[in-house]
Amino acid sequence: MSLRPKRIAFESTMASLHSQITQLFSPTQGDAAFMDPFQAVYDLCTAYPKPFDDALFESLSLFIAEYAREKRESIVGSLDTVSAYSHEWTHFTHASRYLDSVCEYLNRITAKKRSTMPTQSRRRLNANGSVKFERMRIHALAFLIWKETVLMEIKSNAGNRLLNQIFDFVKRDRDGTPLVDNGVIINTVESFVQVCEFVPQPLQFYIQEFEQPYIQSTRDYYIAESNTLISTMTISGYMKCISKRISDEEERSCRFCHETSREKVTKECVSQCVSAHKERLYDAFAAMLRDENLGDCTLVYQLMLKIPDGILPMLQLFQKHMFELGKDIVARLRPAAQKDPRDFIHGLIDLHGKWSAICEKTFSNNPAFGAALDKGFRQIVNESYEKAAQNFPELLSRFADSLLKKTLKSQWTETELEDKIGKAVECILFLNLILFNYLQEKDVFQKFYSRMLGRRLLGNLSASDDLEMTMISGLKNVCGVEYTSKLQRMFTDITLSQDLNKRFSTSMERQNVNLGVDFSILVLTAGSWPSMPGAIDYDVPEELLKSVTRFGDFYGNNHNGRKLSWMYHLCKADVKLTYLDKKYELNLSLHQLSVLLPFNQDTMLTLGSVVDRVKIKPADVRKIIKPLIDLEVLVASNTQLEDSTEISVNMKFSNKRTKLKVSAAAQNESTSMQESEVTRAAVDEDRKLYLQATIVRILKSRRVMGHNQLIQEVIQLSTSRFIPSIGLIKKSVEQLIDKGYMERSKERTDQYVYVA
Amino acid sequence: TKRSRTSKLSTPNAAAPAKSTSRSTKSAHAFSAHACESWFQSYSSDSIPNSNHETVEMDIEAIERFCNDIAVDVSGPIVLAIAYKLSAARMGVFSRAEWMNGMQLLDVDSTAKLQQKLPLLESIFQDTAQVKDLYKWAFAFAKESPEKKYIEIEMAKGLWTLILSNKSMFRHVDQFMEYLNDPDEESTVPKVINKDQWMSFFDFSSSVREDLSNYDESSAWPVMLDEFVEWCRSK
Repeated sequence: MSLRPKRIAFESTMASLHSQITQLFSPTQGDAAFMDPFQAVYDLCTAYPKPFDDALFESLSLFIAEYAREKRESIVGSLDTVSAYSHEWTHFTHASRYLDSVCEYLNRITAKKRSTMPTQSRRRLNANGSVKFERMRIHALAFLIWKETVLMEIKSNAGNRLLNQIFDFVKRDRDGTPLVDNGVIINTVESFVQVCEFVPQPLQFYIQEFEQPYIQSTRDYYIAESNTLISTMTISGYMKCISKRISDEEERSCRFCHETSREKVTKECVSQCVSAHKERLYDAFAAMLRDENLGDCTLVYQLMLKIPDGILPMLQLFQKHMFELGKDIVARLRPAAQKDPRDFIHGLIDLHGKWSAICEKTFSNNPAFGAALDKGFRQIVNESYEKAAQNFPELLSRFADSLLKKTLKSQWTETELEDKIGKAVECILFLNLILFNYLQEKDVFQKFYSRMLGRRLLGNLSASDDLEMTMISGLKNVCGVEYTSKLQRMFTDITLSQDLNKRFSTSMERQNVNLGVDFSILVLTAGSWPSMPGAIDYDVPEELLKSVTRFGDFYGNNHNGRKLSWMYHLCKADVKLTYLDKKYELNLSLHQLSVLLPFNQDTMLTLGSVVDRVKIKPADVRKIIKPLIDLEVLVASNTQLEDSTEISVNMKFSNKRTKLKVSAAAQNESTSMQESEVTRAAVDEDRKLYLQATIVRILKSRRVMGHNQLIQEVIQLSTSRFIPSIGLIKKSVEQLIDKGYMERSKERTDQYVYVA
Repeated sequence: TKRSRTSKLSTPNAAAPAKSTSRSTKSAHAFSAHACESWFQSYSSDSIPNSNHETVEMDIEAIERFCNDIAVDVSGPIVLAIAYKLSAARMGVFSRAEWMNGMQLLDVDSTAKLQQKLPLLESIFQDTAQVKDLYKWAFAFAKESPEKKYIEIEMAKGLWTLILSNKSMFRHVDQFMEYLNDPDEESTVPKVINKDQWMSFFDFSSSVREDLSNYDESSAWPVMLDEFVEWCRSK
């Protein structure tokens, strides 16, 4: 073998090469080797004086074109077009790959020429009218010819038989008669991609010629199919069936299509099976929620996840359903909540627990459903009810009170107590984290809560300090330190007071002072405690004066500069009745004690002289003495309680119990209503101050600020406590303008300026 | 125009004190402090003799007499404009200092001369800049005492109708009065007007269209005006 260029007889060399190539492409390969085809190609390409590469290329292209034409006829002619095509294509790819390697040298020259020559038009016509191809790699040439001569021709001149047959097969596959031999289809579909292996955007041809028609046929199929299914099945059945069809289709597209098409095909299938019927599915979903048909809910959810924004309407329905359920509880249990909020709040807690669990199971814990649940509850909790004096924040804090208060019947056994506490803690946690979180008017809750906490602490009514602390730290977690600082302070006051009492009594012992009574005191920080109305003009009875003065001195010495103001109306006293056959012990208020003490000297007094001795207004004395008369500790000569009414000690007093609690002047409904209103008013006042402080703080840092921006920032800063109305904010702004803290900008009317 | 108009009033006055000393006798039209003083005293003469010169005042009766003399309604806009020009601090009283400074600025020292200026005073109410300045002054003027931060609603109503009389410049005034008098709104309408509300109504009246179409609730208008607009729209 020689590499030197030599004179070559083109015709004869070509003819011999030709016969070899023919054999290469023929289905039965003989093994006769006349000459080395590689050498022949080389010789032709390097022939002297003029290389025959162009002629060689042309001759090859003519050959391949002719071959492809022949094959096309046989493919079209056969009944099973797909199998025939698949077979021929496989053979063609092998042969053309071999031919390409035979023509390696020609390819190299072509590549060199292409890089030096200006790009020519893709093809020219030959003298004899046949297509003349641009010079390219032989493999590429073979594929190009195949594409144009076989694929395109079948499409335009043979009624698109190839694709139609494929789609027929696929339809049969979808209908449940799986193909025996998927291979031919797969091979055929692949040919659409392979045939473009050498062009710049190899997938374009596939997309245009196969994928699009395939998707179209998918669409047509599922439009018909889903319509039939939905009209013949229950929704539940339809969803089960369609879920299966969708996953089948996914798998099918994996089998038949190029990987880039799978998503598109599935999408088309989903859009016909789900999107097209979504309104019906949503309607059905609403009914499923009502019936709590959770299995089907999951099916809808899973289907809707497949389409864009598919779950949005579901979320709305879900939220609406939550609100409906909540409204139902409100309608059923709220009227009684006035007296005892437990059933009502428990109802809501249970509702929340149940549906949170459903969110988790049925909607695979999708946060969007959690958010819809939250929205629904926020709506329930913050819905304004007709009676402003009895709304949710108050009920919720009363519920907390009922959990934290000692129960009157203290016959709990140790384990029962443990159990009760355990349950209570659980409830409180729920309450904290959930219902409280939904409250918009957290400041109202705080006011009521601190009032009730105050009552528990002063009356020593707390079931457990630990529980109280759990609750406070729960509130702190939600609302921050500022929110609970006063509550915390109240707690600290009580603890510090215990210590203070110890120090006081030690100090008295050291000074050898006998106070005459057991005396303990609670020092409360002014401002941290809720206002406790009910104080009257009052002087401490003689018997206690020493204690009060001594403590005042003691406290003054220890805490210089602090001022004590005595809240006599909150004080309690224990008194022993020693003149009866049994020893009774009364627990009564300091005021009651005052009116009782004069009877130590005289067993009978007129009301007028009691008034004179205790120096309390007659009207107040009547109110104070009434419960003692009702209890029959004292006896009145008439029920009118005039100045002249004679009141005497009941020497025949008897009662089943030896420890008696004398109730304060009975709190009736109207006073508790009043209390709500007072608390409300206090909240409103706090809000105004809070808003003004917030506005000043914001404006101080900004100096100049637009109206709307200010409103937004104020709302943002307030939402953890309450949601202020724009009107309220504007009023606060006007008040601040009036007070001279800020003014309207002179340049722009909707802008404010801070005034230092 | 606002500049040129004010200058008509103020330029001769600003120059007057310097020149008047030398030329007061020469020109019959020039301002005479002496004439002005006796003019003032003709209204304040009934006050206690020998009392301090500076603290002498014209009381409400004297002002009524004065209005009669210049043929002006004592409760009308002109006398308000005069009070404004005198920078009067309180309603129903002109102090000597206010009179002397104010009349000099107006360049008048007699009833006749003042009457010639009446058209000029009337024109104040047709000029946006001047009427705004007058409006602003009127709030302090109408307060019962300087420490007060507001004026009574009845007083405010009277002033609104008086000052914002030009219908082409100021809108909604009549409707606003109707709103303030609506017995159904008694609980919501303000009982007193603070400075901010006072000034805001001027802007409202001069900038918001007759049909309220450019009223923006989300803007910074005081709540009083929000409520008024809501009332209008519900009608």
